Amino acid sequence: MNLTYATSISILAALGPNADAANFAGDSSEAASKVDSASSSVSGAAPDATSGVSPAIGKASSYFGGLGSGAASGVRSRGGASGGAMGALTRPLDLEIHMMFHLPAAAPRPAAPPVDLEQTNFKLTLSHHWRRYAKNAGLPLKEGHRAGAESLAKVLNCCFKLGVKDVTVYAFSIENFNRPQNEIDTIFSLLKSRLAYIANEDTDFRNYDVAIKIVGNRSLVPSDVLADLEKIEELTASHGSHNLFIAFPYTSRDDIVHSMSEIVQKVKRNELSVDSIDTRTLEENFYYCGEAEKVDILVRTSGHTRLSDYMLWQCHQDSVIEFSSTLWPNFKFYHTWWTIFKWSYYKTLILEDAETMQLKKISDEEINKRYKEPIKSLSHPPFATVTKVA
Amino acid sequence: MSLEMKTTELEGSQSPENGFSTEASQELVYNLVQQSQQDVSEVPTDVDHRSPVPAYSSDTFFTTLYNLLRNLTSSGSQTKGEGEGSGASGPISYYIYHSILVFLYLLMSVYRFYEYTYNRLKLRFLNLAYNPSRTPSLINSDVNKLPKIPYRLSAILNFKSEQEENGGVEGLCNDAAELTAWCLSSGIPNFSIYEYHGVLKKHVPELRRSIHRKLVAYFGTSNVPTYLIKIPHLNMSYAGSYDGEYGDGEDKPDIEISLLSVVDGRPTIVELTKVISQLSKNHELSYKDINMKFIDQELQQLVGPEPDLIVLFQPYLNLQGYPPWHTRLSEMYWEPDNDGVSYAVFLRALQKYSTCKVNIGR
Repeated sequence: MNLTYATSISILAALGPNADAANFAGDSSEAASKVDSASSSVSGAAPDATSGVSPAIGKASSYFGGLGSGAASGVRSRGGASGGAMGALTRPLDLEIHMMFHLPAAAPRPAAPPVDLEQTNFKLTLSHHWRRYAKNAGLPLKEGHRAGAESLAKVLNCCFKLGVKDVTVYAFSIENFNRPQNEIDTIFSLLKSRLAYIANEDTDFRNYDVAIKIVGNRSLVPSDVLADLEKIEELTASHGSHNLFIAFPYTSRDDIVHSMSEIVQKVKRNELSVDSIDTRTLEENFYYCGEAEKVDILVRTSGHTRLSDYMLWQCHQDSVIEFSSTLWPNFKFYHTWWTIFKWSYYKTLILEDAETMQLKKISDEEINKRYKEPIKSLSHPPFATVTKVA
Repeated sequence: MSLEMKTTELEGSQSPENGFSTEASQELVYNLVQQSQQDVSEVPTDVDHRSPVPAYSSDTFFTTLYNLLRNLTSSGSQTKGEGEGSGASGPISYYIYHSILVFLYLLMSVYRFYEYTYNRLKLRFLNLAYNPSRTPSLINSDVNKLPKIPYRLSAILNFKSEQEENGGVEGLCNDAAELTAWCLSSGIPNFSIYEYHGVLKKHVPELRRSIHRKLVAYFGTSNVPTYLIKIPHLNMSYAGSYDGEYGDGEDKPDIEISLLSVVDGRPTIVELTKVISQLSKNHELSYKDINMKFIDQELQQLVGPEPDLIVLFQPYLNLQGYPPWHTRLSEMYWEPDNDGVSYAVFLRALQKYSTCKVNIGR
């Protein structure tokens, strides 16, 4: 229980009296840490309450509803390392959000109102017109991408304030190479400058201690862009409290194939036996290098209800996939907060359910004793009969 | 400039290391995976296979109050570690924030109550408005208004316990049969059913019987459409009708139904990896051949092609371990707070699909 409370308190800290102000990062993180220590002292009995900051913290993952066998019984929790719950207690929010913003339809029109799911068709044709127009005018498309980049900064700010540890952004799909060259160049330069700004100049982000990591097939990136990005990566490598993964150029299928061929090579070099290959091995060989285990929330903006080759492996089990009809440039503080708040609400319900179910759960022995022992073992009063009892 | 263009093309080329043609090696991989897959066991429905839920401390109202008072009286002395410098305000602010959070959750639950009621009423209304009345021509006229329909449709069904309404194996088979009839009426030739535990795979006779009955009810006894039930995981297929009166799989069936379960997801990919690494260790498969196209072909053989539309008949979006390779560009549709299979949801999914546009990378 405390897990979810502690989780969300950092949310409240961020909500505080000045929700729109951008300069209370220090306060809120302080508040969160205070809260942490408080909850650990309240729980008292936890022997490892003070050592809860250690990396051996389990990710309590939850599963919405059941696999058809009753809502609560389907709750699954992967307690991770020892004392998962207790460990997680002292951490503000052990959650990994994966923002997915797909540049295609999201970027073109920064000022467009949120579009209904029913109107997707309309919006898409509109955006196509917009792109054609943008090609001629040169400027608006760029503006669209810039608005997207700015929105990213706001969302990241919100996430880190709420205590989210890892955020991944789908910046560029391998399929995006199909776009016209000048647009690709625009995106590359924007990404570069934005990341450089985050890494070097932005004081807010320095406070958050963010490590920027590039995830994806690096062999496809032009070497000059790659060199710049790797420099940024190096610069922030020492930071540890938050991770910002940039999926660049990434597709999930490519990721899986990459992992497979890595494994094949390892087997060839006799570093790995064939029998020991399992899902864990595959995950360790992803571009993520073992941090890909699971995504808690995946957000896809702009009203599309498909995954578009992103994080297929990571989010097809136990993850909350949130399809928002808001366009990416309009996806700001409120939307981020609402997504995380909803997640925390449902998670609290699930944990409550898990608790009650656990109280009611009876062991196998008990079941055997109650229902499966042969009837003969039941006691009865002595027989009174005229025939012989066998 | 997709990845496939970057990687080496492999058609028609003899792989230099071993002399096998690519096609032959593909067949080999397929057969090997198929063999080892037979051993992969299904997840049983009744046994508690889930990892145990960790114990969370359950604070009642009184323990909370007690802790609060205790913390107030001995303020500061209990805070350790991170909050050492913060003094007395730690525990107190915790309870303040805590109560605000509980209040927000309260508001949220009130909101959820209204949302739930609204959604249920909407579904009730839709179910009244769209009723197929077991008439294929009605369904057909509904679907013909749409500009496009998917070629492959997939449905995620849930196994409900016997006690529930429309539950058990019978209920599941009934739902599957109903969906088959709707797909046939709307002209969708490929249909796959995903059920986590793989219950349907074990109850094919029941499924055939119930599909046959449903088709008779929809199309009449004289012209029952032909169908083919496939289980890719076991490499089995069952043609024709339950009583086997017609259709020995000679002609192309009107509809193909494939049954999927959780073993077609991650376990299959792991199995494929094992086989590939074993083969390449024995120099029967060259390293160059392992590219996206090759893996895609293998997985298409092992599981089936990727569906265009996945319809989830459950209250929220949850893929339940649906084969990850196959969800790449699939549209997903679910109706919030809906927990049954109904024609209204099916039709709305098709309507939604007809408005979507896929433009890869653009």
